[in-house]
Amino acid sequence: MNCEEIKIGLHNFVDELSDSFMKREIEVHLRTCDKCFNEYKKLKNFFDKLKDLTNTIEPPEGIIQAFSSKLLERSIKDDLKEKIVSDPEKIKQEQINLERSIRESSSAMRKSILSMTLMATGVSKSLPIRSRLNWSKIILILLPLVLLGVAYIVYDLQKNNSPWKIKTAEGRILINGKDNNTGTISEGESLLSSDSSKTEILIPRVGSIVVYQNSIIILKKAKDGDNRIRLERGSVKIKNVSEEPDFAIDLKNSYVIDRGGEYTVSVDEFENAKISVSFGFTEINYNNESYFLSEKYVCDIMTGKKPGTPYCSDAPDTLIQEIKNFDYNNGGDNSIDNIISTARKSDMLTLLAIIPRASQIKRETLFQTITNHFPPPENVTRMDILRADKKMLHIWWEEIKEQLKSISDRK
Amino acid sequence: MTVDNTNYVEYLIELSKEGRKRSFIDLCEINLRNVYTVAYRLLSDADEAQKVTLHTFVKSWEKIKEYNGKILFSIWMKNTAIEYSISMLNHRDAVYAERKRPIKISSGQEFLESHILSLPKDDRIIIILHDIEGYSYEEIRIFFEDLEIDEIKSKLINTREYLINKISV
Repeated sequence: MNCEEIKIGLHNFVDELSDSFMKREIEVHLRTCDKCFNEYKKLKNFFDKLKDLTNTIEPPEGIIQAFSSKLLERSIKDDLKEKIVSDPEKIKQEQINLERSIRESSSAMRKSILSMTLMATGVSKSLPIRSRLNWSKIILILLPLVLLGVAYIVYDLQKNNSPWKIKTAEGRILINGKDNNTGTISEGESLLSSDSSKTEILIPRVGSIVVYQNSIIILKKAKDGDNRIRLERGSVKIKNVSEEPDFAIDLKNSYVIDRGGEYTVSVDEFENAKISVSFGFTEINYNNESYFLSEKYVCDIMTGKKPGTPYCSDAPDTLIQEIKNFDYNNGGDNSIDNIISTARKSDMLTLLAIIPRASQIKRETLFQTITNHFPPPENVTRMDILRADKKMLHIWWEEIKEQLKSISDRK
Repeated sequence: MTVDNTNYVEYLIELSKEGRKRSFIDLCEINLRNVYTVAYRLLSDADEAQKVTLHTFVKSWEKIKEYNGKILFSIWMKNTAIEYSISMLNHRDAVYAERKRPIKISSGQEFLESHILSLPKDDRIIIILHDIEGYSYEEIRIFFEDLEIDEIKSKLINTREYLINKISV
């Protein structure tokens, strides 16, 4: 062996990679070559110094405290995660454990080999841990997703706001068929009010529901952003303080979405519903179609029919009768003529609602009549309306709604 | 090799597996220096080392039930720290100023330490893992998709020679 080979050999030796034959060769060479012996001394000195570097860096104070509080923060999440871990996840974890257990531990502190005698024998081998790391990578990729999922579930659970408080109760009410002692109603429970009762239920962060006599409601969902009751019978009045559509009332074939404001919903013994808005507006959803109902307007929904044409709450009886004719008695063009002739300025939203169901000729007349009171906004054209374009009709509807509101506010 | 966690550490591990946070925090305290040192040496940045240390503790807590005693607990924890440190190193962009926030080291080997900290990334990872932390070439190879074992070996020999020259001057 020449000096250059010895140099490599020395490194192999400290790495426990040389066999006993090699070791003997090195030993013999070192005894006769001052230059290489010098190299060996330097290498030994280097490893002695490296040994001093073990765990020498002073960690800053506060890491343990920071971790303690982090642990506390996460403990709730951990508990939840435990519960939602799905089976495939578990199987995967077991696989990882298995791989890990196969792995031989070879990474313990290495003793400074050079301080041992050159004749020392024994070569330690370590198994590859490639597979383990591939799993680690997969986990690293999946981890943010899992954490995100857990965070979402925690966030979602936090939105549950059941039970709701019952603020005042005149007369008698039954919660789930029993006298109410707790002063609350929880998700899934029903409320039945007697002849002379009036009850106010507080919807957290939304507002309140006044339940009038002889009503049955069921609290279907008590969750921020998705509060929902079912009105089986009787009437309720919603007073809303939130502008988000985060409260809905289920009816037989439709539901009423709260859009802020105040409105009453009633269901009679034949399951006909009536929605009447005092201020603000609401949205009625029937077969995934939206019907908007503005302030001071009423909408009747006959059982099994789609929502009727909305009318002003103080509309003359003749107008209301004609709307019924149009809606349910095939009143047709004749009814439309009568409606147009009796409609006042405040009834224009009724005319607008008729447009999609009117013939082309009547659409023209309706358009002219409404325009006389409320010209359409700039981007809404006559053609849009004659085509009964939903979006354009809605834009005009909003414009008229706002103008009517400012007129009534001035009064 | 045989595993020889001390009885006290074994006891703390058992309690931690049962969900006792206090015991696990004791385990972290015992391993704090061990974990922080390797993280700092790999990253040469105090803030990042702290981040890695915290991350390591959190991950270890999450996986404590998987610890099966086949390797020393201290090494089990350290593996997590190394994996995370290297992934951080690999995600640093080119303009990242190395040694963002160095700390004062008083091992008596500050000179050698400072040279190790200023080594190029790959050379530093290799020498820290192999010569200081005792990892094998095969284990180190995992972190370098584009390097063969022989290349890692020759890089290590060059780094050693470089450092030996520095400290022998």
